Order: sequence, then structure tokens, then C-alpha cells
Amino acid sequence: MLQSLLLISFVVVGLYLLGYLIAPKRKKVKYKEDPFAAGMDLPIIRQKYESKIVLFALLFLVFDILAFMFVISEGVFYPVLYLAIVLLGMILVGSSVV
Amino acid sequence: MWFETLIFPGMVFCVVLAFFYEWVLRKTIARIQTRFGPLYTGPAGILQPIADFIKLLFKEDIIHKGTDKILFTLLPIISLIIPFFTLLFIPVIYESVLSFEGDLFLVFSFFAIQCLILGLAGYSSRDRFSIVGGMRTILLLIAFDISLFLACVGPALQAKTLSINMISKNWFLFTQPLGFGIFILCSLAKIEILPFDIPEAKSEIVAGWLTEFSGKKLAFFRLSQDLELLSMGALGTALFLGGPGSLGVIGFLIKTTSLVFLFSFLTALFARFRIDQAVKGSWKFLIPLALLQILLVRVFV
Repeated sequence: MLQSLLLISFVVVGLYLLGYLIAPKRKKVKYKEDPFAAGMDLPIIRQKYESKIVLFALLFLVFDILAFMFVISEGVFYPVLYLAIVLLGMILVGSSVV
Repeated sequence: MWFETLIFPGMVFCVVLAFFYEWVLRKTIARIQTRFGPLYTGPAGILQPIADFIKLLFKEDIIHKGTDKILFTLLPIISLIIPFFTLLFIPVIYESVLSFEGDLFLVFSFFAIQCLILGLAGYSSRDRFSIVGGMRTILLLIAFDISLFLACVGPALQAKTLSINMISKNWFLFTQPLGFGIFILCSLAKIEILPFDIPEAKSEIVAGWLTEFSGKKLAFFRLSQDLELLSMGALGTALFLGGPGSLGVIGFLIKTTSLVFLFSFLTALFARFRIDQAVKGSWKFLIPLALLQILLVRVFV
């Protein structure tokens, strides 16, 4: 399984490097490096996601991995260990934010 | 092992089939709307998606000011690796290349990661259109991921296994038509085509999370979306239409192509939903219906 993943990764990265070789080099032209703004002169934004959605997505990902670990492992030791580490991390991050 | 991973039924086969299905999708939609669609490259424009891909590889790659450069470079690569790896778990010739008891879960975790990648791609661009597109992607795809997963629990429950190989031995379309309908609707949202192309709505937010990507990065994202189309067709075949069956690759091709035709008919027929309509529809209607389907399977089968 890991072998297949590595093979695929090599080929995809190789394709990316091929694109890097054959594409023309980047030239510095005024206005070219500005983000797309539909013709208006707007500043670059540094907006953050709404935190609720990020939290929701994060929980979804965490429990996805948990389900996967339940599937592949024989007992409940490793999934519970993983959950404990994640919950500990959440408590640490949450306490530092508060 | 390397032959199966890289050539057949691995990467080369998947790329050719993904480009072919993109052509089928574009051509069918165009014919229904009395347009011509792709026409000039190859017979009936069949080589147009490949030409697009190669053209994009040759284009200048612009990284604009204020971008998160590491994420911006890495995300197209990861988003192409994941669908290739996912497709190895779905049976194409009789059996899939890789399999273990519980690979259905793995495929779904890959789908979830893919949706987070699209959201992050919007975020890393630091462009207002991209950020709105990324937010919409996460909202929409998480809502539809859950109903998609619940729709796929039915076949697994009836086959009493979580391995896609074992599930694909029987037809579940006739015992679970409701689940199949939900699967088709959620697939449309997953591929981000018309009734649910809210994240890249061209008339509202330019190209959504794709706005700032150019050159090879755009090519990679386009290819990964085509592969997503192929993997949804292949997963529908494996779970509901009895997999490749006794015909092998030919059976797989017939069933997957008919599913892609179904997707393109639905795309041509409907107009775009608003984001709140789509998300509400998924949480209020699709998820209860999917739960009802599971209950029906549990009671009657």
C-alpha cells in the first residue's frame, strides 16, 4: 500500500517538475502580481475563517481518522491513545486561546 | 505491483478515462443545450481535455503578492495524489488493486481530506473571491459528505462487510433505490457540477477557490476534478451496480459511462441552487432520508 502511494507521489511530483521546466519563467511586471479584483483597486486581504467552521472541519477530520484507525487496528488501544492525544492537544490549545 | 499502480488499472488508465469522461460531460451538456461543445481537437473534439491539460502545463505560473507560498504549491500536488490513490481501492477489473477489510472507510476519509484541501486552497490564495469560494466548499461538501456516507452504509450493511471488493459482488440498486438517488445527488455536489457548483459559481465569485491558480497548478486541479468525477462513477458502480461483474473492464466501462451520462443529464437540466438552499436541503432532507434507508435495510433485509 505504501509502495503504491510512493510510486504515485513520485510520478505526480515528476509531472509538476516537468511543468516547472517547460513553462516560461516568471517575469516581474507591475500589476501582474496583484490578486484578482474584478478591475477594482482593492488591497490584499488577510482575513481569517470564521472559527466555528474551522472547528467543525477539524472535528470532522479528527473523527474520520479515528474511524479509520478503528477499522485497521485489532483492539481499541491505539484509537483511544490517538483520541487522548488529540483531546489533550485541544485542551492545551483551547486554554491558551482563552 | 508497479504495473498495476502506474499503468493498468492505475494512473495511465485513470488519466485517459478521466479525460474521456470530461469530454462526455462537456459534449452531452452542450448537445442538450443545442451547442456543439468540443469540436476541433481530434474526432468530435475528443482530445480537447488533453489539449487543455498540456496547454496549461506550458503556461506561466503566477504567484501573486500575499499568497501562502508553501500551501499554494503543495495543495495542487496533494490534491492530485489523493484521487489516484483512492481509485486503487475501487474494483476496475474483477478485483481492486489494493484492498483490506474496511477500505470503504479509508475511501471516505480521503474524500473528506480532498474537501479540506479545496477549502485550504481558497484560504491560501488570500484573495476575496478565493476565500468566499473556499468557505462555500467546506460548508457544502461537509454537509453532503455526511449524507453520501450514510447512503453508502446501506450496501455495506446489506452485504455485511466494509470491503468495497466484497460489496461489489451484488446489485443493490433495486433493493435500495432511495440510497442510490441520494448517492447521485451527493456525487453532483462532490464533483461540483451544476446544481451544486456553488463554490466556483462563475457569475458570482469569478472561479471561487480556483481564481488565483494558473499554469500547472490549475492543470493539476482540473485533472483532480476529472479524477473525482471518475471516482464517483466508479464508486457508484461498485456499491450499487454490482461492480465490474463477469465482464471485467468492459462491464466497468459500461456502468461507469452510464453513470457519467446520468450526471451530465442532471447537470444540463437544473439551475444552480443558492448556498443556503443546498446546505439546508442536505441537512433537512437528504440525511433523514438516508437514515430512513438504513432503517429500511435493517428491518426488511
